[in-house]
Amino acid sequence: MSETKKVRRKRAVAVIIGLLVILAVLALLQRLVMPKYMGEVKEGALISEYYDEDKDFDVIFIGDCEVYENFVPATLWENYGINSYIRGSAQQLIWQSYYLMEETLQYEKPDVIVFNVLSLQYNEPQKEAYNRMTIDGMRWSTSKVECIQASMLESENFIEYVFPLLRYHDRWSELEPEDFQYLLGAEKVGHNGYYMQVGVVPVDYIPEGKILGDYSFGENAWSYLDKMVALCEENDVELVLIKAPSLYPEWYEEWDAQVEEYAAEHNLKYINFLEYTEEIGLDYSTDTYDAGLHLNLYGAVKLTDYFGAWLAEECELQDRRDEEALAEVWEVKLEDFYTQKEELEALKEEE
Amino acid sequence: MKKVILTVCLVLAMATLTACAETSQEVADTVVDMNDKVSDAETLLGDYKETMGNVDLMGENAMEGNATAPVQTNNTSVDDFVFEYKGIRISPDMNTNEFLADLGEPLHYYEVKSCAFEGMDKIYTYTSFEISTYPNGANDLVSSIYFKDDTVTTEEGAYLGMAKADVLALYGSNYTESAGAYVYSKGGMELHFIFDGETLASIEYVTTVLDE
Repeated sequence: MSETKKVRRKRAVAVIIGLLVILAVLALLQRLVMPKYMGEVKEGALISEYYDEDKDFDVIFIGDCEVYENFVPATLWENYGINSYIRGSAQQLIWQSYYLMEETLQYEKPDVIVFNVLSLQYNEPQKEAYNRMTIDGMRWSTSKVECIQASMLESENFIEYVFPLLRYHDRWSELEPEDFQYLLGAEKVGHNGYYMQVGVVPVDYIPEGKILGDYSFGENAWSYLDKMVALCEENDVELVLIKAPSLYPEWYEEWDAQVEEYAAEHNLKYINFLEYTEEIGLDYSTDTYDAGLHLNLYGAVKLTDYFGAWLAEECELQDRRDEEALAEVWEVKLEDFYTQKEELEALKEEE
Repeated sequence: MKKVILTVCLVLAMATLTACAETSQEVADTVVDMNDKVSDAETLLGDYKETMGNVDLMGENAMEGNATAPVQTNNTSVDDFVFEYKGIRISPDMNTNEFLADLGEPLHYYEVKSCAFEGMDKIYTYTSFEISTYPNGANDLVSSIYFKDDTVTTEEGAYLGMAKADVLALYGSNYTESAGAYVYSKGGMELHFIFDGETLASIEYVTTVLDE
């Protein structure tokens, strides 16, 4: 080999190593400045946790905080042997729910997908911060790309979702200990997507819903519900629509009527749990941690137990507790679940 | 080829270092600190300074409170929509510290924790109106003022039950229609009217800060 070739080869190796170092540093910087959602606002960490699962679920919940705060997969397993997961995120908009559903169906085919209909009220993107809490946690796929395109506000740029460093780079001055602590990996926040709360703030007043100029859901929102129905039909998955029994914000009768009509037209099951609070046994003086917006663990267990019986009967879901491998997985999960319950209750006692 | 790869990396690095700090700061505030009102505070501070400038220009009488509307009290300005109740003037984005004590005890108080953000949205319900707020650092600013009965009026004289024609005569035709509401905009805030047929069914003052 000539001297020139050797020099060229050395230069090429040096350039490649240099490039790799630059890319590694940029990747590390990006990871450092991106939000970890490990502080007071943990909800942004929920979406990404799904990818670590075995993905053999009977039921997948999709929707906003009304699913990840009100339904407890551990209860569905313990009481009915139903293996479930919640793909929920804060203010998850209906097009985000659709793309999460589409993505989920790339991994598995559950028997039932449960969608909470509150987000039908939004016909257009709302807040970038909420977009980020749903989208940043998704793995790259065509579903994620289309989810970004459907969710972006005018002020947002697609490239900033591809390279979040472009968006978050000036967090340099605001980095917190958690950014370093969780640089290489976050703690688990959810229990199969359920975000546990054990506080109690009773309901003593709920503001009346304001008069709206138009109670009709928007065309865009409807179009994504249509797409959900079609996607579930294609994949032979039963779509169940629910409205969680959160007392605030207002779920208007006019909205409920539209969903009921839609469900009837499309042969879907729809349960508005606000109409079954007595049957469920909910006591809003003890079963909510924020005065009626969301249930605490005790209320969520009651609601989930009620829904589990309904799912087992109406959707004919089988009890899988005798599946040894799955039971072993749940044994570990239940241990985590009850450990956190005890820890949170102990913290509450201290307060 | 090496040059191309190197150029791409350099461009990426440059873009990272030089990307718009202002917009990025907004997201950093909203997503990371979950205090997305920081930039709003800057806006409000700007509005406040502008307001104080307006007050200065209005002269000594205005400063002493001798003048009548449109001279404003507190930090409202002539460019704001103002709701006045028993001499207390309230506008969207006003700090509740400026008027809450004067209004007395509300009939009801409700706190709404956002799905994700730190701080509380608060709702103060009085007999005839309801004031909602949003957190801004240690302060709470007015997000909306919503009329509950016909015993209160807007500064211009609109009240629940008023004929649509009379409302339009008061406010003119410079409105936009949004989700069934007639929306008048002024000074970074909006006044929403919803009609039930030919009768005014809903009046609400709304901040636009939260839309940004």
